[in-house]
Amino acid sequence: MKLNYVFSTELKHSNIYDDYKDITLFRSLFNIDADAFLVDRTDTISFPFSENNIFPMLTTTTTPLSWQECADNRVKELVKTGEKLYVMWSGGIDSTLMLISFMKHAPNDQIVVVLNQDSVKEYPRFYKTNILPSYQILATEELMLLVGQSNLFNGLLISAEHADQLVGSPISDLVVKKLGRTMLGLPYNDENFEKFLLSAGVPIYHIDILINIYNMTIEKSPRPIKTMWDLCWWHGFNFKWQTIAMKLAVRMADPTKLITFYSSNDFQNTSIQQTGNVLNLKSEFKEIILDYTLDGNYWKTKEKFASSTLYYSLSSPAGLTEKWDRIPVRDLNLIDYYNADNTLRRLINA
Amino acid sequence: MLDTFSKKANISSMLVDQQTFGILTVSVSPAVINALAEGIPNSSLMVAQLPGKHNEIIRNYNRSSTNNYILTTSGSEKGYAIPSAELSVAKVVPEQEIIFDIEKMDNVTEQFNVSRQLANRRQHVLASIETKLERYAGRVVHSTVDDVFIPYMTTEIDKCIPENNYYTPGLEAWAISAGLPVKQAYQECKMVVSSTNITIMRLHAYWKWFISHVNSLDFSDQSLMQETIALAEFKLRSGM
Repeated sequence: MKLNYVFSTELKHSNIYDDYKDITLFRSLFNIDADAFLVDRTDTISFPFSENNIFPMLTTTTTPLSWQECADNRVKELVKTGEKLYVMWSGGIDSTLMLISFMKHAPNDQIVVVLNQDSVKEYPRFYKTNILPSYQILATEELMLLVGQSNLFNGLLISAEHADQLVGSPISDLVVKKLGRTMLGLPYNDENFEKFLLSAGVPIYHIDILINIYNMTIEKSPRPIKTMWDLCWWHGFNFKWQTIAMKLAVRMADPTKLITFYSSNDFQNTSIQQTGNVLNLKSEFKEIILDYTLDGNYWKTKEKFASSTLYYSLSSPAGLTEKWDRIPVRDLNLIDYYNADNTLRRLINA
Repeated sequence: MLDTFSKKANISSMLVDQQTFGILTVSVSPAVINALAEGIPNSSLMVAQLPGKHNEIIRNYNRSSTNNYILTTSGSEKGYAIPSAELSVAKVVPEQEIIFDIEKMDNVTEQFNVSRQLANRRQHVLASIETKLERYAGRVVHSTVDDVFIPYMTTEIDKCIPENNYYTPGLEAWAISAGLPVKQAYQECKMVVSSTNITIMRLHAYWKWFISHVNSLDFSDQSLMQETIALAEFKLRSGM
C-alpha cells in the first residue's frame, strides 16, 4: 500500500529507525523541511516510504501569463463548476490575492468567506471594507468541523495553498536565514548546495547522496536550475507540492472537495517560466492587491507570515493511504509502508 | 475576568494526602491540582488562605521534598469546617485561631515521600502544559468581558433566525453599539462565538487527554518530562 501523505513524530524526533540507514538519511531532510514527506513529481527517485505520486510533473509548457491572468482564469474555471465555493481567507498575501480574484469575477452568493479572528487581525481594513458588507462568512473552526465529517459539507473548499511553491519559498527563507540573501542569486552547484545543507545541520556523511538525489531529479526539471533560488523553487515545486495539498486534505472526510487555488496549470506554467525576483518573492502579488484595495499601507508594510491557526488543536490523522483512507495516529506503523527498493538505499549500497 | 475582584491574597492550591493531611505539592492552579488528584490515590485538592508568614514556605515547597508540612484546620467545633471530607482535607487543631494553617510534618513515611516526589514531577509537567493551553486559548480572548459575552451571545445567536430577518433584542443592541447593520453584526458575532467555542472545546478535550497521559507516567526519567511538554506543544499545534 502506498501513501499519499504521512507525518510521524517518531520518525522526526526519535531514533527508533536508526537500524535503517536509508531512513536515517531521509530523516536528515527534516533539517531543511519541517514536514519532509517529499514526493518526486518526476518519478525519477523514490524515498523509503512508498509514496503515491498524485501530481505528476508538467511535461509541456505554454506561454506564461501574468499572475493576475492566472488568478482570473482560475476563478472563472471554479465559478463554472456551479458549486458553492468556500474561500479560506487568513488575511495574508496569498489568500487576499485569491479572494480579490473571486471578488472580481464570481457572483457574491456563490462565495462563502472562511475566516476567524486571526484573519481579521491580519488585515482588519479589508475585512471591514470588502468582506463583511458583501459576503457570507463562516468561522474557520466551524468549516474545519464540517469538512472533517462526511456528508456535512456541500461545496468546494478553496485554499490559498501552493502560492509559496510557485515562487521558491519557504525554503528560500531558510537559505536567507542561514547564509544571507546573496546566496539565493549565486549559481546552483554542488558546492553551494553543500554549504546550505551544512548550515542547516544536515550531517556531513549524508550530504553527497542528498545532492545526488536532487541532481537526478533536476535533469527532469522543466525549468533550468541555474541559481540557488532555482533550487529552492525546485524543492517546493517538485518535492513539496504534494505535501502542501495533503496537510489540509488529511483533515477532510472527502479530500476531493479540496482545491488549492494556486495549483492550476496556468499558475504552474507561469511559475516554470519565471525569471525571478529574489528580493521580494511576493511583490507582484502585493501589487495586484494594491490595485484593488488602493491600500498603500498594506503594500508598504505587509510581510509574509505563516497563518496556520486553522490547524491548531484540530484532531488530525497521521496520514492518508493511496486510497484516501485516513490513518489514525494510534494505528500508524511506518514500517508497514517501507519500500526496501528505494533510491536512497540503492545509492547507499552502491 | 470578573473574578479578579474576588481574588484574595495568600490563597494556595494544594494537593493534600487524605490519610496524613500532608501537603504533597502546591500550584497556582486548582485545575492542575485536580488533575493530579486523578492520578495519585487518596489525595484531594485543597484551596486555602494561609497566613502570610508562610509565603516563603509555600513558594519554595515544591523545590524540596524533605521539607514536609501538614495542612491544619480549626475544625468543626467552631463551625468553620467539616473535617475529613472533600474540600476539608486537613488535620483538626481545635485551638487554632484561624481556619487554615500549616504545621511541620514529624513522621514522614516512605509512601508519603514517594507520592510527594511523584506529585512534584507531575505538577511541573502539567503546569507547563497548562501554560501552553492558556497561550493557545489566548488566541480567542478579545475583551475583558468575554467570559460573560461569549456564553450570552452564543444563546442570542441560536435564537436569531436570519432567513426570517429575526434578530434578538440583544443582537440588535450589539449591532447599534458596534455601528454595524444587524445582518453584519449577526455574521460577525456568529463567527466570533463559533470560533471561540470550538477552539475552547478542543483545548478542553486536549487538557483531559494530557491529564490522563501525564498521570500514566512517573517521570523518574527527567528527559521524559521535557519530551511530554514538547509533545503537548506539538498536539496543540497540529492536532496529531
